[in-house]
Amino acid sequence: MRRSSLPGLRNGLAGRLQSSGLLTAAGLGVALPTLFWNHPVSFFLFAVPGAVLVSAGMSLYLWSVATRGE
Amino acid sequence: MTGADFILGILAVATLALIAVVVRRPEAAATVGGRVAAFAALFALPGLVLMGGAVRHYEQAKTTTFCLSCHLMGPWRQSLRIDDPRFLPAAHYQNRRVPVDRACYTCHTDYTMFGGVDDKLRGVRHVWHAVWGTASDPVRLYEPFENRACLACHQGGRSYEEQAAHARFLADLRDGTRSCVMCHNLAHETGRLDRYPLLDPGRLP
Repeated sequence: MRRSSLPGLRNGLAGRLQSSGLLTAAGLGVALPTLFWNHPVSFFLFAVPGAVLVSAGMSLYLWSVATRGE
Repeated sequence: MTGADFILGILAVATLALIAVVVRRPEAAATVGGRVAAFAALFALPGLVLMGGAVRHYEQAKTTTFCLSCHLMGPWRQSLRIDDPRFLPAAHYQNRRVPVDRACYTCHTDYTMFGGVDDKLRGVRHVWHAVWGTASDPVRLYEPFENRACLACHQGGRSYEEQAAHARFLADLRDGTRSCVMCHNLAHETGRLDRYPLLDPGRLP
């Protein structure tokens, strides 16, 4: 998919949304199984790769939206 | 699995599905509907799942199963089977004086305003030491056992306050100048479990 060819979106925004989606999905993919595993390691997996990736994805989304006019 | 877990799982799967739509068609974000979908998929729903997951882990970490799932805790699990009423943890557990599913947490939490958070931070420290093999041997509490844990249940209780030995030291016990474990000093005794009779696991609550 060529980002610059997306109608109605400024260059870069589509790519950032995609990156944000991939980060968030990766984080949720890690966090989801930990919800059904009652073990101390599951908390670590939830917090470190899971929550960090989801937070990074959410932050990237917010940053993309906040700077889309620039 | 509780109903809340199921709903959280469904929410996470729905979020992943919506993210897939946004990633495949980011150009839809040029429309109002697309912007709403992107906001939901990339911010609102993941935030909800993250908060729900954090609460679930927070609650899960209070369970006896969670504490005893670490292999280092094997002797502590066994200590709950000591068949002798003088041993505090075993007597409390076997007689359901503490909730069986939150036995460790009930006696080892810090009954202060942010005690629950402190417990989780201490728990992270436990796991860190367990993972990297730096736990003390034998495992010891980071800080002396606080009377607060005992008084959270016993304070105000008639059998506690009217008992002659307690009645003499009520104020000291309350302000912590005298520790409950000075007299009630038989706790887990994990280093010498082989000296005591153990209850058959089938008879545990």
